[in-house]
Amino acid sequence: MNNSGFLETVAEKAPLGFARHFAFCELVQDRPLSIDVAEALLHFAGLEPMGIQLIGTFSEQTFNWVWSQSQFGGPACDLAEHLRAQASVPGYDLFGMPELPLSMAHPFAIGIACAGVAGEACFWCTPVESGFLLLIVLNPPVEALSFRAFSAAFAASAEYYPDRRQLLETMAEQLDLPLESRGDSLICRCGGEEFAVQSAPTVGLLTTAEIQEVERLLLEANECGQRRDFVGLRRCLESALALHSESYDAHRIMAGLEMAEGNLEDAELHYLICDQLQPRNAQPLAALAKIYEGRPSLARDARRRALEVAPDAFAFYFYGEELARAGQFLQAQQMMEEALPLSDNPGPPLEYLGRFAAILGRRQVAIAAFSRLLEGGAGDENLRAELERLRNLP
Amino acid sequence: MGDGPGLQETSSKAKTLRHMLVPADCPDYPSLVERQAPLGFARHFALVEHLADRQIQLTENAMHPAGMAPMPMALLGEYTRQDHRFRWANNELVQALHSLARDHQGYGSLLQEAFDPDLLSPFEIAAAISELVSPDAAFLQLPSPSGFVIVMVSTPPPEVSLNATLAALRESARSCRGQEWLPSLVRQLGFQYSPRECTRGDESFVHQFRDGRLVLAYGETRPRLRKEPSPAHTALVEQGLIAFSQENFDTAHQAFTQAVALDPQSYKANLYLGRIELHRENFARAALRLQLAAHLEPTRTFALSQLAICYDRNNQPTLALRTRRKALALDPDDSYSQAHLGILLGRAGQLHEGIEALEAAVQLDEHRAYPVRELAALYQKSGRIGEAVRAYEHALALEPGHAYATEQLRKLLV
Repeated sequence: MNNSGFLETVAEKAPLGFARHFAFCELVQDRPLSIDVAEALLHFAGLEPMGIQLIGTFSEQTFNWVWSQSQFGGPACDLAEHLRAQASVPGYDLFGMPELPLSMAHPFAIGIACAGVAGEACFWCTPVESGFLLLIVLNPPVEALSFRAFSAAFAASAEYYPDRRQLLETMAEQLDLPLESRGDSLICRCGGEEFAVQSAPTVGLLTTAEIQEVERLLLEANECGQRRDFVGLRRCLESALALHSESYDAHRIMAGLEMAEGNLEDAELHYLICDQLQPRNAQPLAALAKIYEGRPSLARDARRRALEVAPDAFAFYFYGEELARAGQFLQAQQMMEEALPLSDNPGPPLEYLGRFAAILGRRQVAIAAFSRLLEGGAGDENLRAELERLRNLP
Repeated sequence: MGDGPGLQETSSKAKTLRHMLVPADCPDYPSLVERQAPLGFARHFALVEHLADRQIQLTENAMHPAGMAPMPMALLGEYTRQDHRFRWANNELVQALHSLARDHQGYGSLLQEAFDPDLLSPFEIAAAISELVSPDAAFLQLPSPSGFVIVMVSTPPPEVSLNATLAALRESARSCRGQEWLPSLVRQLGFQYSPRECTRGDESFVHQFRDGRLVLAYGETRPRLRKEPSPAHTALVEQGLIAFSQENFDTAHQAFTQAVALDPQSYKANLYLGRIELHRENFARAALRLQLAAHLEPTRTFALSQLAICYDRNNQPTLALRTRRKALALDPDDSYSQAHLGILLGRAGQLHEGIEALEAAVQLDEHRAYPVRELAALYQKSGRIGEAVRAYEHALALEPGHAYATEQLRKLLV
């Protein structure tokens, strides 16, 4: 028995499928309904009739496709018949079995897969004499997704996604919802509320209560920071780290506090731990580069790593600056050239580009950079004089 | 420029210099650039990285980077900011180059006495002729009072890092026509070329020519600031380990501190600094060092194990328990970890779970008295007197005369 393809399809379609299902449940609630099998229509009181496809019936133990039951037939069974024909595709054996034990496939999973094939559709179940009828509603009139429906869809889909972060990312993508990283958490906004998932690798064996306490402490730390109560800030952060020693946010804020108080060794250690906890985050690396100002080679390594992680205008610019300090002007010029098209404010990279190019004897590049800079209204008399000098060279 | 020296090499290499050979498939200077400059730039950027921030002294015919062997060197020429000209040096190297230019049509541009570097790039020339000079040659640009000089040095070629590769690609894109030079360079530097992503071991980058401009981006990033430890770092760690093993903690601390100053992500230096801080009861600093070490080598359990001890000694039982469990998840057969887990659970009042962990510890290493004794204590605490007596007897058999075990057994038997 090979149902691997079916299971993959269900995993892929589950977030959107469950979201539509729960949104539809919220819409119809307990409105009276009638099913017109001959016309393949579903009538809910107060709503326009909706097109449907019947899939099967299920009881406690088994699921039966509608094509295996004589009481069903006609256009309402087209989708089930179509899927029956797909049973020859490897990985979809269950589409051809008239009767399935529920241990093989949950009716909701079958509903998800069938709705996925139908396109703009959702699955729905309604009680019938022999148990429940599984059907697909075509073009369900569902508009906004409520936070409750979103949460329910997340919980139902979790079975198919061992990584909760990945599930949230997939849901946000499939439902076109805004997603943002905030410290250890990944946050998706839906229906005016925020749904948060913490980074699995850093949460470890924390209980929900502990996670909530850490979040509370970080909020309090933030408030302390705003009113410049550094004693309170340290106390909150120490408490947060005592509960969750791998909290990125707690380490990051603590690093900033240690740096502000001149404890550079501890600040460095906190930032190094931050870099380990979130290696795709450039901020700790940029901070490390500052701490390593007295060790230029390390500062350069930190800038280079920041550039690898986030190749934005800042990363190119600051790495170029470090390279210039080491006298590596060829690469420094390259970095300013990379920074330039990415910069909202082209002044600083243009000025460096001009200066580095002039040092390298690339007069035309320097002239072009300084001219553009001065035309943009930036630069000073010294720069204007340097431009004149370059222009007047033989 | 005054009379400059030739690249000081063996007489046979000097002979090669005088007869610099142009590859057969390079009919003119631009084709030589496309054929040779990319690798020349790669060697240049690799050498720059290799020299890092060393102080460099120039003597008549050699370059002396601090802490490194002298490198034979020849001056190629000097750029003067004042008149925006690059002037050739007068030495064997330049004579060989000019002789090549005279003998081959299409190389005439190299014959000018001095030239505008906007029209003919001295960097490009230096990169293009590196290999003609010697298989070990690479150029360097060094500041001079009036501008900069370009020298050609002879040194065993250092490994061309990913970063140096990208710099070489960016620089080559200024000099080379078309795109054909790129796959060739990438392969020469040991990358597997693909139009999609070029890979070498765990490094990769992506490239694209967009509107005639080469756009590069890193692929998978390296998680470390420094890829390879420096010899100085390795020596300091060795020194620290010897001092630590002799319990000379001050000397060890000094050596490891110097080691992390060179490589802040050194696993061993952080681990041992953590252990020293733990020994000195600086628990907060010890925890940070050990936590960092545990992250740096996530498959090793020792740092985690030390961290669990640190939390335990600093009266942070929740963190101790969680960290000990993490260590055990990595190595469930570590009897010490099982024993420590058992003790922590016992202290937390989870007697049943504690006994299970200690029983596992005893099973894993039945010759150590300490877990047996701790197990006996937990049996005793949970009222399992018969098992406690047998465990104390077992512990005393392994470590006869142990005062605590003897005393507890006496109490139980009375």
